[in-house]
Amino acid sequence: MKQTSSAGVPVGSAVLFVILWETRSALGMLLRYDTNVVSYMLATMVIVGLIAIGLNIGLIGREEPANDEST
Amino acid sequence: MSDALEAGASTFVDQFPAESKVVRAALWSSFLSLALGAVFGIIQSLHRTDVLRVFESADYYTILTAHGVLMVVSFTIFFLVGLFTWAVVRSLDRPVENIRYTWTWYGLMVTGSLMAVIAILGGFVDSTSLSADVLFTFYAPLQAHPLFYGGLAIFLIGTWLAGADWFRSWWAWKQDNPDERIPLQTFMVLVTMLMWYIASIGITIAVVGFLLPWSLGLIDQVNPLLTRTLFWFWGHPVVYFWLMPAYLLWYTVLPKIAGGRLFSDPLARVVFVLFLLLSTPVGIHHQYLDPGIADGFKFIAMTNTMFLLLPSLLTAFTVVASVEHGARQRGGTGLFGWLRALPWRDPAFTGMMLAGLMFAAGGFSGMINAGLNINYLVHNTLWVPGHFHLTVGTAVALTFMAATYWLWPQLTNRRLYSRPIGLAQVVLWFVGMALMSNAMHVAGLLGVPRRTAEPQYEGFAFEPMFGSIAELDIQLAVGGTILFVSTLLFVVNIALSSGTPRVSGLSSSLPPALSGPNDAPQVLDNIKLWFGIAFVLVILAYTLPLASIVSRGGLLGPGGDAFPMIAAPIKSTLTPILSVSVEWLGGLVA
Amino acid sequence: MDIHNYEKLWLVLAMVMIVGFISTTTYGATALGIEMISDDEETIDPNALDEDPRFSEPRVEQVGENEYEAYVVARQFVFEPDPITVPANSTVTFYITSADVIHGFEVVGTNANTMVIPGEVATLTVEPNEPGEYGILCNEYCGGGHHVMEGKLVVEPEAEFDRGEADE
Repeated sequence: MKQTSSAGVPVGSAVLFVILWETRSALGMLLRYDTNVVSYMLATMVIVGLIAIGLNIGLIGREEPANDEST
Repeated sequence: MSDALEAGASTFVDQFPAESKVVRAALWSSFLSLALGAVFGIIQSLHRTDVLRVFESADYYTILTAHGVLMVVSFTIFFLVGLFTWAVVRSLDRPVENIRYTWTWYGLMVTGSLMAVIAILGGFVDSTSLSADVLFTFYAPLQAHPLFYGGLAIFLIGTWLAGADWFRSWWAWKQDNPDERIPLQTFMVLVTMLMWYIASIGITIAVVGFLLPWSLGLIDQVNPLLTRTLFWFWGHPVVYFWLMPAYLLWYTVLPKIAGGRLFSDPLARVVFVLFLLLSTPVGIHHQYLDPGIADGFKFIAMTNTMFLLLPSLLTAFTVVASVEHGARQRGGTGLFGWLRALPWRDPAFTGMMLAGLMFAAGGFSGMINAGLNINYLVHNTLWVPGHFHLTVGTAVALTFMAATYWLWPQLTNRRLYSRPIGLAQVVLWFVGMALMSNAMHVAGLLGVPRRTAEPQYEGFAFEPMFGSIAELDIQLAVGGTILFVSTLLFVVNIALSSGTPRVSGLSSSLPPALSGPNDAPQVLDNIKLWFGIAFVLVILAYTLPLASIVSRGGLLGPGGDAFPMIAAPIKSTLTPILSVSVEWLGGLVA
Repeated sequence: MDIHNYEKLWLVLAMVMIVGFISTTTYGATALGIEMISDDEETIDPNALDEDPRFSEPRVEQVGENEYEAYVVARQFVFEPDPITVPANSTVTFYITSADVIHGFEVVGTNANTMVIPGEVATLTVEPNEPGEYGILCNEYCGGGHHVMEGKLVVEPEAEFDRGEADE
């Protein structure tokens, strides 16, 4: 069973979201490639959401138990 | 470092209850400033984007002045003095030399900031001449009420006395421990304060020598370029005054939270010494487009600034190495797999890591600002706030909030009210800031100006390379709103933590570094030497430019009038009295 | 002092990057000839601008074969003259000063950007190539009307400009 920690999903999702969103600026400024803001935001949220759900239900992720994270 | 403090279950507040009281007071003053500053922040982000305008645009500048001063003077520096008091007392394992003296400098800081804030908020009230619509930088000939300048001066004096307090503790400790190396946290505090003393020279001359007498009518005019240059003499090192407490936390606390130890104590000392040497002789990089300053001086400022990248790049290495060490101690394996072994559920850890990640981006946008001719493209555009919201706004602010989650239980013997809310808070900050700052950077490259209530002009339009200005506005407003929510979550979480039961066992000791202080060359501890070199470098960097400004334009300038900044009158819904009570509470809640 | 090998490598890479930044910036300053705003002009009394032949009458003046000088005064909350009209494919040196407080002078969409400080004259040489209309805005807070402070730079095709100038 694949396991991702309960904190790893929100934190990882946030970082992924930011990376995807910043890429839009890179595409626009460096490659002059225009993207529709609504479509891009929806696509970003869909991608992040699917990955988050996938990690949460164990569909994707590492094949090892999550390390104990309590401090 | 002290074994008596680390062993057993006693927390910092158990060992040093009197000092804990001061630390908590300072932190409360810091958080209340943050909260009030955040209210102004969201108003601004909704106003300038034309999403929601509840104030007149002329009042935007009162709000902006308050936001700037509350955030980068009150919030950051009150946190610094609280943190540094804790760090010195903890690492030397001795109480302060005179607790009444400590409360005195804290009281001066509260008094000074109240004076300045009252003067600023007086701009909302038309029945008084109190106002200071001059922004955080208070460039002459814009003129504020003398209460503003006086308040800043008194606040500054409070910080100097705080530094003296920590030096006294160190000297006393040295008598009792003549052969020992300075404990790392105390070393960091002392070196930071030395940098602050040097930096203060510029702004003290500007405020006490020129602006305050000018606002009192004792002198008729000032030289705007001179006072501006003296401001930036202090204005660059102040950002390191904000950053170095964050670095102290990344070096000494983050490794522990990650489950490991600091990679190298000596390199940490080297980094702080580099900041002492290089922070001040670079101020002219904020004035690349100023007439009246020779381009040769600007070039030198550029090279100095580029070298100032070095301590931050070294920090990146050491921090990541220390965190990786912690991860492997916790059982993490693999080239990147060790990341999974880290305590991401801990808001203190995650907050600092996200802050560090964002700082990398902020550092790079700062390098662009430093790039002399490329500055033409970004100077005074919205790019600049985009940059500094990543640095002071995240690397510093988010680290401070994350550190509070770790430190507050040790100052109160109470658990944090909610860790999950803490985690949500730091993640929201990261996302909100990414959205807002990204929009600011892009808009700035299109030419959208900073410090402007309504960046919508009649005769021309900004031309985006992708998307539209409207969506950039919305993105900025959304980001700012998320940040405001995050701030609320932070302050409420800490406030509610006063209601959790007192428990024991909340202490969290700090382990020694992998490579300890005794591996550092003795010369690193010779802070007199480093102070001397820093002083010489500043003399070299600033004597000629300042002499040139004075010889060309005169000490008091070639002419010109004062422009007292009285805000346009509005019906006031926010009185200075309210804010006075709010900040006064900070002194009482302890 | 014990420095890990990776740290030594990082230190070297950091220094290489820093030297690289300094080099590219220096290249821009020297080979490409991008000059920074400097202290070429004498100081001036902001209350006595009408005694200065340049600023008593803010205008654009031809000083050479294809060289122009634009004398600009920034004051709360306008730029004078408005619009500033120059011909395309020329070299224009702006002389900009303030009659009151610190302003900014930014030609939107370009890298023509300078601080305008009362008592000082900012000189900025640009080569407008493309005809068109450019917005100018003030990007330094200068008072309650800061956000309405805007101007216009009109770059006219050369033929039209000569005609217009002759009329004046």
